Amino acid sequence: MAICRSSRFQRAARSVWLAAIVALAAGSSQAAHAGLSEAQQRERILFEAREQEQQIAVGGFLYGEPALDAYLQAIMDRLYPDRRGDFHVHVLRNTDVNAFADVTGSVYFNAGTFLRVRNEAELASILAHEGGHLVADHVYRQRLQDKSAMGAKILLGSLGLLIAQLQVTSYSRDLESAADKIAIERLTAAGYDPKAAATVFERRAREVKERKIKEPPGFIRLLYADHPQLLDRARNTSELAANAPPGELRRDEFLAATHAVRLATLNVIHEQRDGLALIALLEDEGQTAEFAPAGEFLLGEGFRLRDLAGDEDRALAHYDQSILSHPEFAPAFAARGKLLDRRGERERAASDLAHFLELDPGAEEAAFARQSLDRLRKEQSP
Amino acid sequence: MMRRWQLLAILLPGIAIAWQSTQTGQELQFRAAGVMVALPQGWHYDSSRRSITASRDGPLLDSITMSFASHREAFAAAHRKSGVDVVPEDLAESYVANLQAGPAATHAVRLLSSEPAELAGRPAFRVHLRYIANEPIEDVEMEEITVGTAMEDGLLLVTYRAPSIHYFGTYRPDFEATVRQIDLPGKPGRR
Repeated sequence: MAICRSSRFQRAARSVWLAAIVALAAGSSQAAHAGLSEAQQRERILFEAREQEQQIAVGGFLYGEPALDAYLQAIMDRLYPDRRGDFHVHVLRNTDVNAFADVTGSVYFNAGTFLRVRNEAELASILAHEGGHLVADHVYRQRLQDKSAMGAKILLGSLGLLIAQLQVTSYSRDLESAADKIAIERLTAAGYDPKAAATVFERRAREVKERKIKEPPGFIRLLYADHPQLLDRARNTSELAANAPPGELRRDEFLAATHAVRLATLNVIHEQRDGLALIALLEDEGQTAEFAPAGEFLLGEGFRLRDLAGDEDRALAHYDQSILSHPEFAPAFAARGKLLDRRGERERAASDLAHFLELDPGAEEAAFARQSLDRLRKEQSP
Repeated sequence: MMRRWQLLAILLPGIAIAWQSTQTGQELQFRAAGVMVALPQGWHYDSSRRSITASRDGPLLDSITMSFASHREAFAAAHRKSGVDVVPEDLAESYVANLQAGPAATHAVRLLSSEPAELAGRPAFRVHLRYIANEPIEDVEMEEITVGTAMEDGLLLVTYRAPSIHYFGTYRPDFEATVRQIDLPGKPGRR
């Protein structure tokens, strides 16, 4: 059960730690790159990137589901048939939304990103964007830019870093726009609906607003975390795709290939006790039905954990719905029993907890349920 | 807010001088929570109004901390409620949430178990966690068991923390014995 620290800033900062390692490593070797030819610099950067990839591979950060990797790889190859064998897609164990490419041709895709897309075309738009960074050599140029920024810090201190940050941010936005343009072209050529790209940005902008996600201050920007920029990009991609022919969405294929990773990621978010994220991900567009029987229960948990005025009633309604639809799903009985116990409805609470223990006596929370049930029965007995 | 480890690093020289050795059969009174505790023999301890910390080989390698916080402050970082009317399961969930919401001295926290327990003769929770320490020793896998119970005017926590390698397993029996012996003073039959 992986649990990450839950403050928004900490989580955002952690979600880009890999990128931070890349930047810091690049900065520390800045001096060693002085006087190298471009070919030598490129070779050096590639060497560093391969070493970092090794660390990612052995560090347990990869989701490591071959069928899922193969599904993403097939989409990438459909988007970039001319670069087949050059780009390699990997899924990272991370509940946040992010994707990034490296100079080696690897594209890293956070497991949490699957929860923010609804069909294969939307998924392809993200891969097409990262592939765009690779074909346009953005990643190498960004790494050089990062080295300059770190060099400026060494030479000029904080003021130098501030100036360099502004340059990097401005440069990055240009690169993002260029990659978005390539992505729309590739999506269209591959027969996907290019309008899917704008939908991803619009949905993410809504989530950023609802969860009040802040972009971490500092050198590295969190992809898809800047609300105004997301809306700009939604507008830009929408304009770019305006005259493109409609293409495939491939929703069913997406749902079948990614169901396991999406449900597993939702369960990790539940273990992280992130109620806001559960609500943002499940309240939208009838998502709970997709994750039956757990969907309604997890949305109920989202409200229970958020604990604002009225959330207890909302949680109860979703537990009720879960039990009504799937009377064999034990966790909903445990959750409803606990909530009813808190509300003083002892008889109903005891009934739910007893039923939970009948359905799943070996569950992780069974010991607490037994304790509560014993207490409730004592309180009920005359 | 200053991080716990930063504070520890600053206070370390003072602690080294202030710490006392435990004596055979010695019991300490933890006034804040109104309980008595017998610390393991051969350990060293330091106490303040709100906590007692004991360690055998140094607080970075093994520590048993007994702390007492008012219900208002207990889960302040996570904005969660503590109280004598809150069931142990909810206290356990809030404890973990509070740990996650607090200063980032750890990452990759894994909840290994959460179960009912008893502390000072009261219903309690017991959580077992594993995490990677960010500081003061970077990338060390640590384990922690915390047993907690809500008392009338605050939350009593007893935490054992040590690196997974060698230390955690070695001194866990000392911690378990300590937890078993924490009790209310003057209670008949207590050792």
